[in-house]
Amino acid sequence: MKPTRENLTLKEALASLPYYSPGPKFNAKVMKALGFEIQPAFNCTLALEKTVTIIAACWLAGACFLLIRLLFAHAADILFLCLKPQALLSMLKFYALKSWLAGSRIISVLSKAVGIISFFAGKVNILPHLAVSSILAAIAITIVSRPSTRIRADNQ
Amino acid sequence: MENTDHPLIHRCLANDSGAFEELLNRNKNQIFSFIFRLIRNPEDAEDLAQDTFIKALRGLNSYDTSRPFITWLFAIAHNTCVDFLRAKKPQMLSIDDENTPDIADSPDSTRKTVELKLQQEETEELLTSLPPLYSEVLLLQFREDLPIQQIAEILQLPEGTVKIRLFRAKALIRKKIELLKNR
Repeated sequence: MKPTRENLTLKEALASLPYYSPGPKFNAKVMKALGFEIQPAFNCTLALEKTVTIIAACWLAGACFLLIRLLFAHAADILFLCLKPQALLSMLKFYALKSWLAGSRIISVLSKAVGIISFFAGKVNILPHLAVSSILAAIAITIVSRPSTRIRADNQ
Repeated sequence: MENTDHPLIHRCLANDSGAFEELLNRNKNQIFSFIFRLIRNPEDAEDLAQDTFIKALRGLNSYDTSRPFITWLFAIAHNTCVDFLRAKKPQMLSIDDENTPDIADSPDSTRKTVELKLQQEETEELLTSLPPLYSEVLLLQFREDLPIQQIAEILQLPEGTVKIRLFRAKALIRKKIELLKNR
């Protein structure tokens, strides 16, 4: 449908004519003829998108790599779980404790490192830190070392 | 416009490429539209517009700063178009329009102020139907809002000749509108 017509004089009709734009390479051709090279405008949005995509791809690749490594490292456990799904809970408990132990060891090492640094810096008493980390490690070792009756029953 | 173009022109004369590009961006749509409405072919119009700016920016040393820069650009654009039409389509340089009755037979149309109902598309079609030498004076006066004196400088014609062309162009376009309405 055509829009509603307005009364226009010749002058107004001509004055209202739009300006057209030449093609996108217009400037480049003129500037080249004058001996200048136009650098393409830096597209901030595109650069940001590319950066985010690359970072996300790196993280994804790293995560996939770790996942595959874990799968291969624990392939036997995974196969066991597939055959006996009821052992999943026990296995999760086992790995949770393993992680806790590893975490405790890390904390212990860090505490020791801090203690040593502080000792030589002369500002912090090393003994409380040693005591805490030792207690944590002892608890974790005790828990993990205690035989699990459920696992034994499942393995029997 | 002329006051803001002069600092850019000085920078251009100092070979500042940014100034060249800014001058180009300020004026390219006006010049391209003017040429396009005369030549009626977008590819040719773009080539001619590029030639216009290349000639203008290369010849900036010869630009007289007492004149508005856009006037100088339009003069170069006009000459470029005339050279093109003379070489490729010499029939377009004729001011005779075979599709319209002789203006002299209609004494009333030149004096009346006619209320015209025009849309943009109709205006473009009417301009296209006129000989380029008439459409350019209409564009320069009504679209670019230039005074007769500057139009005369651009077209390198006496002011009297410009006035006559404007008079005939307006009469011609009004006649064409009447023909359209009477169909």
